[in-house]
Amino acid sequence: MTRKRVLGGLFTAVAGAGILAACGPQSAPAGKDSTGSRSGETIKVGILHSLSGTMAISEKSVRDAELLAIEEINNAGGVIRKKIEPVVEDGASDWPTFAEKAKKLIQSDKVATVFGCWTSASRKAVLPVFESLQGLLWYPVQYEGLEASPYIFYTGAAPNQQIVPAIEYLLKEGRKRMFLQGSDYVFPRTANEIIKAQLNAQGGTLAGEEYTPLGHTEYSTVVAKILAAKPDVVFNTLNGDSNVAFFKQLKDAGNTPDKIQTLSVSVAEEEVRGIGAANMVGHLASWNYFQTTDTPANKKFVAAYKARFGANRVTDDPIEAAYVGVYLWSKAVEKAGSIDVEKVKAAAKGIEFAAPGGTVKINGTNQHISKAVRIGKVRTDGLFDEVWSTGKPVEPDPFLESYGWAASLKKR
Amino acid sequence: MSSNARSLSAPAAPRPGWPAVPTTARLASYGALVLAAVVLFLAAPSTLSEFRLNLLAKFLTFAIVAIGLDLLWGYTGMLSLGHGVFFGLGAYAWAMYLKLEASAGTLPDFMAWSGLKTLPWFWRPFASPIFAGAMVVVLPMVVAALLGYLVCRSRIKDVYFSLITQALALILSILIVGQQPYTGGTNGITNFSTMFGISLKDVRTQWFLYLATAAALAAVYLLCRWLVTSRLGRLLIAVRDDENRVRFCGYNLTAIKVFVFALSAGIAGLAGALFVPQVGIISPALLGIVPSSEMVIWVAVGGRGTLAGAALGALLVNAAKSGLSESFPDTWQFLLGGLFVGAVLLFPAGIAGFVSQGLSRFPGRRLGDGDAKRSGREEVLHPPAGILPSGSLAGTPGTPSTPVEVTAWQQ
Amino acid sequence: MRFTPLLMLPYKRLFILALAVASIAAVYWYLYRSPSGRRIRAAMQNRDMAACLGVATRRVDATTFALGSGLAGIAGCALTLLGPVEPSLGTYYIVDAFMVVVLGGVGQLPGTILAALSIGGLNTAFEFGSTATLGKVIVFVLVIAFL
Repeated sequence: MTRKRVLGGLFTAVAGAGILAACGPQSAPAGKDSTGSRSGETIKVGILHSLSGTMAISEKSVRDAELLAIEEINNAGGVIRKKIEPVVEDGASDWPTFAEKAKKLIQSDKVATVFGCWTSASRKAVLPVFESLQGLLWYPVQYEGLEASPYIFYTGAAPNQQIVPAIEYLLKEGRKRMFLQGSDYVFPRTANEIIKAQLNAQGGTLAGEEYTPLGHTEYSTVVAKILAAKPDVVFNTLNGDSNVAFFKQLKDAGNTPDKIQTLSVSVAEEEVRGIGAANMVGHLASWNYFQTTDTPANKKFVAAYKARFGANRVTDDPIEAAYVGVYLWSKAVEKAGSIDVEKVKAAAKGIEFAAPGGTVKINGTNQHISKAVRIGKVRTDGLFDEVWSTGKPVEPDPFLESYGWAASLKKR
Repeated sequence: MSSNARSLSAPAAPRPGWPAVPTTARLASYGALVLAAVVLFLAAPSTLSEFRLNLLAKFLTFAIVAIGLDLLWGYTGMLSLGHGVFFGLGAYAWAMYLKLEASAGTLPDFMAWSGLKTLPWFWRPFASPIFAGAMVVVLPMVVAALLGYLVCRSRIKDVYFSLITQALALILSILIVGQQPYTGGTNGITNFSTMFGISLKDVRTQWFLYLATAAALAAVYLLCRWLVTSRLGRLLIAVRDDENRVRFCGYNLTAIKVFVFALSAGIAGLAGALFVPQVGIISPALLGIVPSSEMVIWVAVGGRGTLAGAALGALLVNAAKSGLSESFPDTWQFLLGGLFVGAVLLFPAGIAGFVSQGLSRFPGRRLGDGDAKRSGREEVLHPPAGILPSGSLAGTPGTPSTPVEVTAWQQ
Repeated sequence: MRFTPLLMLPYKRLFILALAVASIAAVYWYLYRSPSGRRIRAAMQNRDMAACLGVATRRVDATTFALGSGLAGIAGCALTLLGPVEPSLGTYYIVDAFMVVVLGGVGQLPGTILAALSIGGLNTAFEFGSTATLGKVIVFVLVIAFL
């Protein structure tokens, strides 16, 4: 009974501490002193990714890249002679939690900017928060486009920097019959709308279109449909773990890349590790950056990343884009001489940076960045061999305004 | 009905074996309620920062759900593992109105990029706040009544009821994800600007919404409290403890169960509608299996079978979740999990049960706030004592009588 | 192994089929032919009476739970041949598993098998006809309607 009471006391104390931390008028948990960031010796920045839940596996490495960039900048003397102090929050793979934490970072911690989000849903959830509180978000992942919030900088690819060139490449290679398959959510559906319009205009044909719920793992029906449709290529927009099931079951059904090739847009080095390189050898992916991309900046970046987080870790496109985002922000702050959001936004226009994936430049009107597009083939070690590239950076066009065939899409 | 309620809640109801409830304790329980009201309506709005007040408002909406769920689970013994669905339906109904107002006559953005050219017919009436407001409660109630009728008619109960509600949570969330042009898909509905033409960004709007949420919580609490102390409340507990006997007594079991299920769903829908404008998003992730199970955890931690306990549980669990994740972003889930395990081991009857047990050690002071309802329950349990096995009285609140009897058997 | 363009049975799946049949046979033998299984059935049908007759019902509870968990483990093991393994894996299967039990009826081994086959078959059939999402929804509605 006494043991029980001691435990009870302990429990109450811990619970109480948690509640106090949540409900205190201005919580200042240990390790995060609440001195005003705008006047102090440090500049606070928020890092908002899912550290728990289904997205944690992807988003943790992105967070690592952002922390690495912050460390590098601090070691080089900081930004406008102040050290950057990251405030890390967990979005828990839950969109309202993202909104809550974004509010907390801007209102309670008064951070200068936030680096964060992965899924479109989390970005859509925090967008109104950033717009109404005039905060700044750097979003590192390729996405479906059709968005240009004045308070978000997009360092991942817009559709015309990933999907559109990939289709052009496939058509040029003579693979005209395409089977579209993806997870049932906004990115694959929007991407496939774009692809269908493009196929229509550029002489491709549609062999089939399939959507499966997020987290779906039974692909025998879809694989059977694909094999029956005999497409030249499967354009794969599956997200997350479904890829593991899909590629395993596609291989089990006796398919090899020389029979039906696939091209994925959500499978990078990190995901290939999960799927198993053996299941994916010879299949294609379209990105702006691969770990094997041959630039001096990338050699340095990959070495630094592995030295900091372990030799068995890999870098990939969103990791690079997150890393680049931190540097672009710091350059904009240096140019503006201030962390004031409006000044930083104004200064950011046209800023260039020699990123690991090649030189990138912030587009002043839509706040996306220009970047080169690459297509890679999976090797036995799970990395990619570049098979094609645009060579020079492609200007971002989130609303596909410069593509005639996209007129039917963009007139909304 | 009201005269019944009064006579039942009167302290003088004679209960064999128990001393009459002292008036001072009764005053103490009212005192606790008044204190809670003062904190909610005066202290919190005047001391908390804008962000914290908004957070508290969100927790209060969860507390409303918890009370409704407790009515269903703690009092009637029907464990719904799909209450997120009803919360979500209410939230979606209101979000549709907010979205239409935000789009100001044009097509909502997600419809446009999903390829729709015109507004679907079932969206049109939601432009009216009155219609949307009615749907907030009506829609969940209709779904619950329909499912409840089908399920109860075939005498599906206990764990099967729980499983079917859980399946409903899964099915509805994948359905909403799959119908992106009509529902916004995984992204849900977000990016609202105004409500009744007033900007949602305004501090005063948020403040008003907080007060509205607190008022709704108070109203729902009072309604449920009145309900459980009424004759119907007695019937609910009888259903929980032995539904066959209730059926044999000639009651229409299906009607009772469908009523409670629908009421509880309507309460959850109301909470959902209050949630949307304050959090600014509703997505299918909020009505899936995980959030629905979380709602059950709130009630279990707080103390099922006591309304105030359930509300308290929702507040405490969510406050702990927010607080821990802010302080320990990398390890908070372990700490929260540890808290849950601790809570289940130490307070099997929930926090409210623990408090009332603690108070009951002191003779003459048997009533905390939670205890008021607990002994209120015992009070209600006694009159039909003829039909109830005596074993169920000894059990912890809310525990179906069987396990208690079995332990009794074995000892 | 390929029979027609649409009917394929990879060896992995054949192995899983055999594993399922073996598990069912073992469970059937255990529940209906062994003394321990008889105790489980007794405790389920009338707990109090079983306890009176000297069945240690708590022990039976523990054994049954352990056995059920072990079976789930075998299923999980078979699953690794087909799909991904991750911490929240269980949630994708739990509802299907529960629906099978609800439809098959508690304590009915043949019912469970039949329910599993029909839910799995219907799911695939509807998925082939429409989409995976709608397939799941239709199956759920059918299950509720047929209860």
